Amino acid sequence: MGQAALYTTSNSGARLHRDLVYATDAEPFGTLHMTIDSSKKYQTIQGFGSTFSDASGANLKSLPDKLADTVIRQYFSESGLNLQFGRVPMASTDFSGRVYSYNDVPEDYMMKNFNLTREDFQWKIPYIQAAKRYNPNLKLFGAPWSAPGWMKTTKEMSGPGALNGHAGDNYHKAYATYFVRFLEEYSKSGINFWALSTQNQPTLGSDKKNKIQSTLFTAETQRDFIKSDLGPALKGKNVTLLIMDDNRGNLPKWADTVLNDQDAARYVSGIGVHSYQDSETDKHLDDTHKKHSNFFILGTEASEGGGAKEQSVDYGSWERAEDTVSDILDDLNNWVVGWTERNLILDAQGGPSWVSDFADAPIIAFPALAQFYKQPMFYAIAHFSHFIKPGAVRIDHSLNVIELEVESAAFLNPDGSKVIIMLNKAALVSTEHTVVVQDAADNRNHYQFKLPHRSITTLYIQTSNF
Amino acid sequence: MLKLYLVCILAIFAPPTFGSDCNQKQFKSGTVCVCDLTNCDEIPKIDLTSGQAATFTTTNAGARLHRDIVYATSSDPVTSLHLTIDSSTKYQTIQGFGSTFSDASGANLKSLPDRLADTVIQQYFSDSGLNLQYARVPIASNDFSSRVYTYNDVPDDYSMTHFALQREDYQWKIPYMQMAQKYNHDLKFFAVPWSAPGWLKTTNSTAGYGSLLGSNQGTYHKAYVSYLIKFFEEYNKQGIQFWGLSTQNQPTLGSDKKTKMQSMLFTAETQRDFIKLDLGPALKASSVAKSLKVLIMDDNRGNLPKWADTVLKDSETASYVAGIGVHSYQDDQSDKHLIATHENHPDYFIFGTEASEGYKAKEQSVDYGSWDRAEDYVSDIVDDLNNWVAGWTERNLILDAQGGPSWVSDFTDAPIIAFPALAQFYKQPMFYAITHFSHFLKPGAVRIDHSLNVPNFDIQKSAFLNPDGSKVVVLQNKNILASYGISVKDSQRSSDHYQVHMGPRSIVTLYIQN
Repeated sequence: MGQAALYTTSNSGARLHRDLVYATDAEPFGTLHMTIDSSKKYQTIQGFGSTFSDASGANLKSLPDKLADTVIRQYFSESGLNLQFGRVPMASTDFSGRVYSYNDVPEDYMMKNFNLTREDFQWKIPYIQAAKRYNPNLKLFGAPWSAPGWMKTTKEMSGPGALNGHAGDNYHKAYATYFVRFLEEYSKSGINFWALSTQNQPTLGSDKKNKIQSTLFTAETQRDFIKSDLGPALKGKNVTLLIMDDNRGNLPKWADTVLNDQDAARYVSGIGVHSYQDSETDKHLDDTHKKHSNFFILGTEASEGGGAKEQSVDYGSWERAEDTVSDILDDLNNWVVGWTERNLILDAQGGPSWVSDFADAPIIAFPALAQFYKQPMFYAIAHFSHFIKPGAVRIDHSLNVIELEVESAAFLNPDGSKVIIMLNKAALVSTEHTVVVQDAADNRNHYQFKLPHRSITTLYIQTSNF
Repeated sequence: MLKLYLVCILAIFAPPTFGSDCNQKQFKSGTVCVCDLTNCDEIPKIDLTSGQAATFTTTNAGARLHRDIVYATSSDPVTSLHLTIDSSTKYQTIQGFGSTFSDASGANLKSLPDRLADTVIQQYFSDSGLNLQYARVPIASNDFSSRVYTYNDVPDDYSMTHFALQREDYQWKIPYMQMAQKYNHDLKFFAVPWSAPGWLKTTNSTAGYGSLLGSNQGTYHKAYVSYLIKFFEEYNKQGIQFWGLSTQNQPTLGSDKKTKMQSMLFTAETQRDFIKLDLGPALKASSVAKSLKVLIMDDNRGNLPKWADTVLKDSETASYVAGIGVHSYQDDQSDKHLIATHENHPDYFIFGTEASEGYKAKEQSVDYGSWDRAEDYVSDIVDDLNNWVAGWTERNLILDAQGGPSWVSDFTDAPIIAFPALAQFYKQPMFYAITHFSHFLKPGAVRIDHSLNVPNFDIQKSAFLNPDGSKVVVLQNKNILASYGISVKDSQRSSDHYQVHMGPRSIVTLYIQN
């Protein structure tokens, strides 16, 4: 009969605590019955990722080399989070120590003065290379927060503003060249990219109150930029494009505008989505998938603690782990193929950030004692990323009752193993559930396990026979 | 003519406009000054000729020791507030200000590039900086350590053959103490234990409550005293000599069964007996330790004057003691505690040995740019100095963004916060609060008489006479909206006075060159 293991993480302190669970054909008794049906397959899960921000690199550099390597291994080796994606900012972001681009020489349309900076060489490239040693298949995607200031209507890299002019003109061609030079320069360090996001949070560029580096694109101007400039510039570079890279509220409209134009769509393979509007309706995602099922939806940024009124770093926050699991479940249950954290590692302030845009992170660095903390959020991601193998598909699952405090998802790995992830948000001890899991293809055997209050569980069923 | 006159008056009272006095970074609670490898703000030089005066102003709005020359004027003072200082009436000598070489501070210094750690030390200990004269040195571990340890955790080793300084001393304390000595050759170190080794305690645990086992002159007490003396011997081998020894940090904490940190209980009585029968004689018999100034209490003012009365009433005990250490956490309690202590024991100095902000359970440990905390510091220091206290010591030199490290999560704020990732540190408003006193009051200064013509609860003030004849007046305006003009008159001089402008939420040091 089948063997499974249950991994439990709880507010009371369990961290991926492993228990063996045996399939049994005895009378099932439980408070929740889940049925999984691997004959009904949804989207392929591509994987999970994080971001090689300047802040992350600076924090890694502040630790002894061996400890920085431990952080990388915890994230990128298959014995750890087994991350498959790395988001790589192009030049500076809010999580940098200063504002800079790769070419701050005005009117240098030919990009003769394009150069990577000390941040790339000290804080990004070494750690990307370290990550690739643990996962040679690591897929990197670059993303700009802003074009160089001299290309923008505001003449400033930080704050709002769009590119000068219009698609096809010298500014847009120069900016497309900027992307190409980025790929070329990184290639010299042996780092090649799988994709490029056209622009981080393009809607931010219209916010006059915003101080962070940003460049405004509307869906229309993004479509045109891809069609006229960026797409053609990338010909032959074996790099695909992601559009949007913004919150789900912009969907499906953003995808419709860009992808309904064949001349733009041909350069694009996916739609990047941020998690900050995950409380909005799933219809945004469902409609997008229905209309553009040939394009994947990938979570490209998520974080906690970024709100103005909240504590940036909240040590041991179970709530933030819970929110993370909730968001990932919601995304994966609605066609999203993967999920990317905003920073690998931050400091106790939630930075560094030149613009004080501090946030929380799954790992917090403490150089003074040569230590780091793994937040509950780290384990939240692990419950997915360690168990769902690249190429897994989401499969059908249903619960016999509607339990508002319980959320779940189910997956079939390429090797036939099955993964079921459950979250119990209920706070009282008495709200512990006994979960019975049955496969629709086998109405005799089932697995049974405890889902405690304030816990996350992953049931990993090894054999392809249930 | 009238217009010109009005313009003149306005010019005297126009709030000075400030360029940026430092590399500012703005937070919700206020601004910090950022220092890195290329840049760190310095205190403007006093640079005054005889008879000249200057104000140094720090404000919530961002000024940091902004220097303005102030001229003595004999014209009618137009302000409603008149402060008269009188150097013919002298009170106590101000011995100086200090901070603590905690393990946490050393660990944070070590996490910065060497040159930047040196900048931190220079900012605190050079006379172009805070000019600190005192440094508190924990004997073995405390709450601001990363682990619990003493110098001899081998049970029953009464002869202390296994006594050994730890890696914390060699990596996190000694190098920075030596660095500080380079900037101030007269730096006075005073050591203080948080707890004896656990095997000498009733609880058999270094961490948490408990008192020494046995009785005076017995095995345990003797062993503990030799432990303490060995500390000074070992540091002496490193070329570091101490000025003083405080008998026990916060001795009353040792009775609190709920406390988790290192502590050891003494009552005033048992401290008295310990000094008389064990510590005092042993110190005198030790070549390294015989000149150490012994401090008693090292706890909050609520214990005074009773604690001092009990310990110092015994003349044999008193013969070993030089001063009384006081913490600032009950500074909101009556000044009578201090006044009565001075009256009862005028030959013993009262010295502030610990102060910090951000330690309460419900508050933010590190509050970037907090003006409130700077204001509290000035308030406390003024209150202490106006009531016979001879000095004041900060709890940590430099902490991290969490307010540690602390093995027991006893996180707190500090005047300097380290950011190793960017090789930077922040100078909190608290740093400048201390500067307003420590940079301008020279060692040997005395507090002098001062009086304000009308009561004003927004204004806090104290006045001092330096050995070179210069005078220092430190003022704080706590009002969040109102400005004040204060005429400061030196009763020892003619009818001249100085007009000092105090904006809302401001600290001003008026320095009158001799």
